[in-house]
Amino acid sequence: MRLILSILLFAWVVLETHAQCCSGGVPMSGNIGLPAANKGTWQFSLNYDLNFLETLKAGSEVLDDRSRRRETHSLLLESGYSITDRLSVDLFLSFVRQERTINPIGLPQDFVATQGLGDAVVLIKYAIWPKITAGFGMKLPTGASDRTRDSGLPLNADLQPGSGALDQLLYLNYSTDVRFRPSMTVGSTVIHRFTGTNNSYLGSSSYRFGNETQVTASIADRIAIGRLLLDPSLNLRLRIQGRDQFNNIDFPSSGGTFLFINPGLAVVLNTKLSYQLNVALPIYAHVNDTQLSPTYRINTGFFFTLPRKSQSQFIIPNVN
Amino acid sequence: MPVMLLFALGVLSQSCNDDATTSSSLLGDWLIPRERVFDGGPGKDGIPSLQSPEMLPAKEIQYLAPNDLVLGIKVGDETRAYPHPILDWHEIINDGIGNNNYAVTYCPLTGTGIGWNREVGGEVTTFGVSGLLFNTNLIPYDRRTDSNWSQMMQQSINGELIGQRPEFVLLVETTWSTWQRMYPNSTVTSTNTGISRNYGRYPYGDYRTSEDLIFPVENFDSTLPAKERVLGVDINGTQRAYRFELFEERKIMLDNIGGANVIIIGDRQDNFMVAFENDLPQARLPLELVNDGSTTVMRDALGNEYDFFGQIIAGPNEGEVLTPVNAYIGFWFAWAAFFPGIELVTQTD
Repeated sequence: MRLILSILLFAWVVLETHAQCCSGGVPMSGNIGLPAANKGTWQFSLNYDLNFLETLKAGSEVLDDRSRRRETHSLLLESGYSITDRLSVDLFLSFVRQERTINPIGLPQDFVATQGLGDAVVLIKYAIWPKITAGFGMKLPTGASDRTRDSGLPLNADLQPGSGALDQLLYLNYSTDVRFRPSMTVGSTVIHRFTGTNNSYLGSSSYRFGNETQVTASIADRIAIGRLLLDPSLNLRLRIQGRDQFNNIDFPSSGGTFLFINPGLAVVLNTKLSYQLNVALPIYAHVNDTQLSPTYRINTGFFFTLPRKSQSQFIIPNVN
Repeated sequence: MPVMLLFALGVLSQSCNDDATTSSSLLGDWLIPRERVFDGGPGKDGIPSLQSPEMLPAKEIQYLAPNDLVLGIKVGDETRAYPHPILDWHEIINDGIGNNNYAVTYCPLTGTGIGWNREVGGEVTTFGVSGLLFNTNLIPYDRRTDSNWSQMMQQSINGELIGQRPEFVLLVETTWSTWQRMYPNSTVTSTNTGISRNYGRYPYGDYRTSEDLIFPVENFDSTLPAKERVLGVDINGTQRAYRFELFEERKIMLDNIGGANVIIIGDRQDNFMVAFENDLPQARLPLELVNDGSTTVMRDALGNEYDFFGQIIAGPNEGEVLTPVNAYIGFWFAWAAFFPGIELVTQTD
């Protein structure tokens, strides 16, 4: 009952405040949230994330036009420390490269890229029940949001490494073992981002990425092939983004609703280290107006656990 | 698999400097403040201009509604219409009739449709959409020199041709129903453009009817609703704006702008306003309004009948054409942003 009430409360908060969205290019919400661990445990993950957008859509309709491409390459470093068995803190740092490529037929390619330190996230999590963890976080505007071309011409918000805004995050995770197969876990994570406003965008304008909600349902298992331990996983992720706002006015061709299927595989290298690879493929997307929609996303990297000296534990990395 | 991570580290480390990398530097002088030149988002040629698109006879066109706006051109006796539902997605159509090579440039954010001669600096070029905006207005670029041009300033603002002005080509903006009635034998851009777009869908939401702008402008004048379509006339540094409400009924208006005598003909119901130099000899005056549902909008004292392109289509001087002035329809806010001193005409007498 308490579980249902807490989920409903969270959902209410999210829905009451949901309006706008977007990541500012930095793929944070799909990555943050290290798994629960015992007191004194340090966890680290280092991931490379490629978000590749080449599917031009008008609403839900795919347009037969592959001339535009957006890529976000990110190096994501996350570290977490369990202060108690229930309370933990995660810190998320990113280095981001934004690329935009236009390949018009019979004409020269147009290419723009920026790179730099991205925004950082601090997330405090608390296990309110054994299977439920709630969290609150802040995304700090550590990334640059004022990159210009070499000629001094300003570049758009979505081409900046950072958002220039302070965001707030709500996090809720439910995870449980499956009774008939103890190595299998199922769970769900909801992350909602209340975006802040960059008030120095293009000098004196304001820009606000829309709020973003992501709901993930996941199933993961551990299997052994000979001496090799593997953690296959499968996620369904719903991402809802509202429109961005430029000077408090809705910005066209921003925001939408996306549903991804996300298969993944982690290879357990030893009790402390694992390697993971997962891919996100869109199975539904409805964008506002006309815009590029995700074509695929790849996330790969290492997960490292450093338990207290007296402990030894296996932790399956989150596969959100 | 760890190779992928190493690859990623390589990609990111090779880009460890903090500057932007661009294929087109846009370096050199600019005639406008470069910090006011915004990237619209889709990038250079991300909005694809059209080159000599397929044109169909007007009677075969099914995709236009009566109130859809079109930009019409007339060269000799040939007329063509370029509909907004196509231009909203492509912004520039490079086309030609005979030896007349022109570009129909249209900015959906300022509602301005202006024709340019594509012969620039002695050579014919095509124009593309640079993806940049100044005062939320289209910046075309020419593909021969890669120079950037401001549509409403009608001038190259950056690049090899900086400072040059294209030759103005008269386009008349009106509704599809008016155009179809007046020029049933014209041809119209087909939706078979070779580029996948949903031409039945307006790409900018409620932009046309809201008071909001997408990108900020330097001088915002709230005297009129921001998106009210006005005919702006720019002669010798003097600008004047005419509202459709001045032309509730079809009307000819004589005015003097920047020292030039001008004839303005407008009709709210048929949704057009046009302006020409009034250099007619005294023998042809006075001018008489014609509103009989035909192509003729004006008759002079010699019996010459003029259409709204200023061409004499019947009469002793058939084939002559009035000289167009630098005038085109656009949203009020855009005219006021580019020309803060613009005079708003409130009365026709």
